[in-house]
Amino acid sequence: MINVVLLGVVYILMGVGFAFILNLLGIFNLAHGAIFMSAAYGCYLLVVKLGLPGFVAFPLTVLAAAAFGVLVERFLFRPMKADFNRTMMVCIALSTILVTTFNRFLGTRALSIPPFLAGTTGIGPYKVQTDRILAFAIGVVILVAIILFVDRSRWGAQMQAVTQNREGAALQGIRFGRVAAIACAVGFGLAAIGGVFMGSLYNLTPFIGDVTLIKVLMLVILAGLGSFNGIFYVGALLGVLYGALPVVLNGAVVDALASIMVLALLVIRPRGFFGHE
Amino acid sequence: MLLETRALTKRFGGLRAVNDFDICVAEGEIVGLIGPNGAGKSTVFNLITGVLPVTSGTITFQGKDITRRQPEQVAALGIGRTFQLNPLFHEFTVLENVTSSFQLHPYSSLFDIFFNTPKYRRNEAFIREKAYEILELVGLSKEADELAKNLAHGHQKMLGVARALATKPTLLLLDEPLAGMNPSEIQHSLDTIRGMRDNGITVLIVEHNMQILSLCDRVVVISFGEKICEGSPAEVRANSEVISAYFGADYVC
Amino acid sequence: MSEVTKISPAPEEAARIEEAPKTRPRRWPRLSMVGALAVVLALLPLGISGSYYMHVLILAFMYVVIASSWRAISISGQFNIAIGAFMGIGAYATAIPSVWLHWSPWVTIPLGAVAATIVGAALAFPFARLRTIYYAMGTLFLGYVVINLITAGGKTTGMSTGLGGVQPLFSDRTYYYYLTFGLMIVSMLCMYRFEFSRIGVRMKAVAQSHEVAASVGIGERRNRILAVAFGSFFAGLMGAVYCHYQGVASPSSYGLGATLWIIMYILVGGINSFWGPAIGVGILLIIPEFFFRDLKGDLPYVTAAMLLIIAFTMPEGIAGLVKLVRGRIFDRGRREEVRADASGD
Repeated sequence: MINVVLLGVVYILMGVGFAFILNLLGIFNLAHGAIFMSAAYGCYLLVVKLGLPGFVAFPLTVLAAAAFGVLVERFLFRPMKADFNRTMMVCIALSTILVTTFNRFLGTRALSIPPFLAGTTGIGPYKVQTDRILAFAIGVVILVAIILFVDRSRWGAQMQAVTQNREGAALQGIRFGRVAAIACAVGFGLAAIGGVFMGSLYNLTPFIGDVTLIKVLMLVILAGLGSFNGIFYVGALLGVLYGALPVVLNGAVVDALASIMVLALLVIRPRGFFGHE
Repeated sequence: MLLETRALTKRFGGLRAVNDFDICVAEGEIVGLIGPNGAGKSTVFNLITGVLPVTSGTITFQGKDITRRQPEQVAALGIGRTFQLNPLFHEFTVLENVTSSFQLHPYSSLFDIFFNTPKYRRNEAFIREKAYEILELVGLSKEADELAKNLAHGHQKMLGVARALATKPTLLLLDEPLAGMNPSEIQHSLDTIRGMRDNGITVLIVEHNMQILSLCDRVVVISFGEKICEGSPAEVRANSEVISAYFGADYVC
Repeated sequence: MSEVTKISPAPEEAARIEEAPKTRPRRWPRLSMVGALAVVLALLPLGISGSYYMHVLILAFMYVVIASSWRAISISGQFNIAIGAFMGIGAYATAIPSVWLHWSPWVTIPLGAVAATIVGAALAFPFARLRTIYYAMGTLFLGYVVINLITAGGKTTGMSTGLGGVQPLFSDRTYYYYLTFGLMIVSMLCMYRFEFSRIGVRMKAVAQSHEVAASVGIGERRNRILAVAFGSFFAGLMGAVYCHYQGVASPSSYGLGATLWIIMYILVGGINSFWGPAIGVGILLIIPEFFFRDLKGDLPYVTAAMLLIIAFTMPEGIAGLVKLVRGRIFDRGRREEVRADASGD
């Protein structure tokens, strides 16, 4: 049960991060899955190889991912001038490099991040591993923080302005470069959080990113491109779908069903459940 | 009647953009459809050409009901049109814009085209010749090899007309042909339109520039989606309802 | 856009266009280059028979066709992320009868191509409503659905491990070389006709503005479906041949990753040029495999580096760069002529 909820949280974190980059930079970040995977591995390395405790390694990974996001924005995305084809090439190159690196040095062997906290906690009649509850709590706190950040802070307002009309925002003195850098930092950071959660929940392989990327695209499309609120509802739905259904059905059948559903929705209602216009 | 609409209605949500609109165009006429901005003129065009689906009412062309036809079918029946904005294939040259618009006259089947049969080659040579004639007619033959997007605005509009002519229309719908043109270009456009009528093409013009009146045989005035007046240019000029629609009710007194 | 109409005669000469094809001479250097390359490739097996290089070239021939078929779809403005799935449909439509019914490959391969065409055209119908990014995403999920259906297909499709034991066409690799080479030439000729004829003009018109296209009688849906049917035929054909060559049909060869790499070939080569896909395959597939093969597991770094270099320095791919350079060299004279003309007026 907690797995289902946590999976939902991971998808929402990934989806929100992806949507940040898509809305503000107009970039389909096909490297999002690779960032997710790299963060999980990074955290694994910090914990297992360097022996850092989980509560140090986790924020460290997320900060590193955010810093990486700023660098990627500045040196990879910005020179491409939002040209769809060129950013696609850059994203694929980036994702290839990351996947190859982890593949080379850690192999395709499945790994797992050791739990932050051992032991279980009783919730009513159920026993749940404590670290999962913690992960869930952290995830929720971060999501709330993101909502507040977008809704209340000045940077959030600037971001919304840029999403609606980039030139208009520029005329108001909003620096697009800075907003884009923040968006990338947040996007990559959220992907890293999702990656670490996923790495502690399930096994890690260098190819986990590709699978997750598809789920994220599915989520963003179902929600409607450009819709933030939709991501929360649809993310929860997908969490249930992927967390609970494989218990009763074959995993491949679930995938087929879910993807057919997305396809049908796209054809009938291209703007998704919560898309505007 | 060449073209006739009966009780044409278009609703966008609760808004009636066009309401119970009747217009008929006889062969050989130049009819003006005028009205203030937002009156529903362009919507009427988009309904006739099948770009927008009709809410209710009928459109007949040469006795055929074309109410539910797709835009390309309407074009194939002989209704050519120009657009107010974005009227071109921007990445094509001027000449290619015109040659690409010859789709049915002469007609080459997919088989002919793919296997490059003599018939196809003959058709293409004929099309190029015709395309130059049309460019000559609208005064663009010098710019034939220019990319369409590099043309001046007035020239782009004329190219839009050239493209519409290439479809060999019986009826030509011109959407604000004078908008954004300078006086000498306006004169040239008026001459061209008159020339087309003399070549047997019936013309329906949407315009809010009143200069178009001098050209029209008949004028229909539309305001808030309804026909408020119809008659010769002189009658329309004198009509108080038209004046109030354009300048506000206070102006009449 | 077609080469033929780039330089056009003055109106009075238009009638004589048939006798005086002014543009033909400029196309000769390129055609002779392509011809020379074809001759070299045709004779190459004498030297490299049976080697790894031959294997790479066989793959390259197939990918040239597949990448070109993607571009044939894309000239009508459709960014299709399901080309791998069309290959997959072709592959499984040939593999299943081949493995389970023991039909001859010479029957099943055309079957695969036809199946891909039919499925492609049928699916193109609902997709003709979608444009730009929505179309791209729609086809992405289409590809995903196809792969999922294959993996969920039970024993018939071999699930995620793939369907092995597909009958080979030949025992000698040289025959495969000539088969794929011949198919490539025929396919490229078809695609050349497709693009540089009125069909291609219609496709490009639809891509630029479907509204304007409709106003001159070029139906958007019809032409987009035609483009997908045409492209998926060649993708399906090569998917089928590929699967007989490998002896196995496995879903991973047709998934999103495979599709994205095919698109990379085209972007690297130049999406706006007919030869772009072929150039891209040469750069991203042949060069790394021929010259950097010793790197083995590090090979993807080379490919990624090439992608980055091209993304940074050549916005329109290599063909775009070639065009730019040639324009600088050859068009200078022409431009001055034009200027002289203008001042003389």
